[in-house]
Amino acid sequence: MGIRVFRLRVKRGRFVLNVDGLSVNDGDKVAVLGENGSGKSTLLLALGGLVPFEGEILLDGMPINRMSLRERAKRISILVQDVGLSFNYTVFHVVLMGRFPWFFQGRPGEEDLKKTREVIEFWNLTGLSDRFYWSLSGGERRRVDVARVFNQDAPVQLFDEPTSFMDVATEKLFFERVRTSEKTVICALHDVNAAVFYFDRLIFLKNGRVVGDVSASEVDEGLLFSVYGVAACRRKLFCFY
Amino acid sequence: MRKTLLIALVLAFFCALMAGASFVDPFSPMGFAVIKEVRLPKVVLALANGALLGASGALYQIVLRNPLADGFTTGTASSCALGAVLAISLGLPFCFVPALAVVTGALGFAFVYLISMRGGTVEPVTLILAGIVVNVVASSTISLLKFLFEGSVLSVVFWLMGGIPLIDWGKILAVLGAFLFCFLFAYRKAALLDVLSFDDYTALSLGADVVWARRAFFAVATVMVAFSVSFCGIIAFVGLIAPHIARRLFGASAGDVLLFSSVIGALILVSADALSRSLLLKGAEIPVGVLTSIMGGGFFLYLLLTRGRYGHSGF
Repeated sequence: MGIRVFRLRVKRGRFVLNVDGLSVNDGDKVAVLGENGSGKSTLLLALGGLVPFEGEILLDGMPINRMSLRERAKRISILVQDVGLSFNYTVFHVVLMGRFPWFFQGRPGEEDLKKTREVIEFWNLTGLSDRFYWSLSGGERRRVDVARVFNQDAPVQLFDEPTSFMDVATEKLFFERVRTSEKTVICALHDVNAAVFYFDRLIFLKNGRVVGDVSASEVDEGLLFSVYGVAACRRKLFCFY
Repeated sequence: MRKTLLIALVLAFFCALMAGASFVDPFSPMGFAVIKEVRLPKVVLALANGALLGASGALYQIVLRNPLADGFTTGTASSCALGAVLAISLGLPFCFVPALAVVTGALGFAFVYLISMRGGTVEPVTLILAGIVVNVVASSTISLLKFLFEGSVLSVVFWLMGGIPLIDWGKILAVLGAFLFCFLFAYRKAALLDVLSFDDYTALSLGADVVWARRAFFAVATVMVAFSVSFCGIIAFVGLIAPHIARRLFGASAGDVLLFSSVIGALILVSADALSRSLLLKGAEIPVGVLTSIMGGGFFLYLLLTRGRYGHSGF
């Protein structure tokens, strides 16, 4: 099963995203790449059911816009590009909020608290658990946001530039944990090297359309030039992957 | 800290019972009667009204994602006062006073909310400016109504500066009931309020029905302000200050902010009421809103000057 997209059309202001025939199988790790404004974020928001769209997005055969909000939140989690949080919650509380779809009668249960503690440990956040979200660095906040998405425990995880502000070690930690997880992951990225190294499949967008849907081994200079308009060459510099 | 706050509230409650232009002996029959018949109803009303203001301020701030919001700065309080004065001017039965206050409060708030929406989010400075517009228009209309219906409407000072009047226990219980009903509704959904602190996409992705939740919480906050204003006029800044102090002392968790904003709001208003009865001689009272405005104005200025110092969060 997995995700199937048919005749998707999303209009945001003057920008229009058109995607048809996209399918992502369970457990796939897919990177979405393209220049700024090509539609990566819009595609993820549509797949998360967060923006109005025409066409059909099916998750395990069921249209995502016919699921209840809570049901959808249990099946699809998303990390948006700019997370806004109005007040200064502790790291523990922010990660705990990822369990909201699973709360019983609107309150966290023992299971939610236990899972939150595990996820905090998994993402090396134990030392920051009592710190306030807005007292952290940008990279640390991003790690907390990623942990919150993992704590949501949805089988489909969508990430929009998850590694922005992260140092290379945290970035590597993120990619390795994503690669080894059993979840279906769709991740908008700018780092072509990381995408090629850690993801099974790369989807390239340009002007709101898919211009390339290839496996990591099929990415070549020609495709990259057609997407970005600048020449790329294979040259080994420092690589952390 | 929680115990300290509760002890402070209890102490303030008993001090307020003793506070007044002259000392009364609570153990003398005369003194006991003064405390029971005059001061106790006023102190309980101040307690309930302060709790209403504190909780409504917390709700506005969380749901609008704006630390500068409360019933006063959003223009809701003056819109509610306009409805209450209108109902009194038209000679409607008293039960229509809070009802009309809710209607005009909701209209005033809706106007401010719609004006301050920019690209799907509320623009904080526009919200305050639109609130000022509504405050000015509603206050002027209240003055006009007072001019036209001189006999039936209480003084303009009462409506615009607020006060803790001596009213019967039935009305006091109505204020307490409104607080308990609205508070419990919001408190039981504290986790949803926490999620609404996120941007709309994140809140929606966590399963929160953002649009309906906002509408429900705005309605509850407006009912709270309407009940407060219908009985005590516009008491400014309590709803703004209380959530900030609560957040400083107990963290940002919505349940704690709601609970302790209510307690701190009650503490501020009970103390301000006691002061307002004690500062002048010969039994004269300073309108309690004057005192809260002096305290709150300074605090508001401090907030404006330090905006951004604590990162995105304000407090």
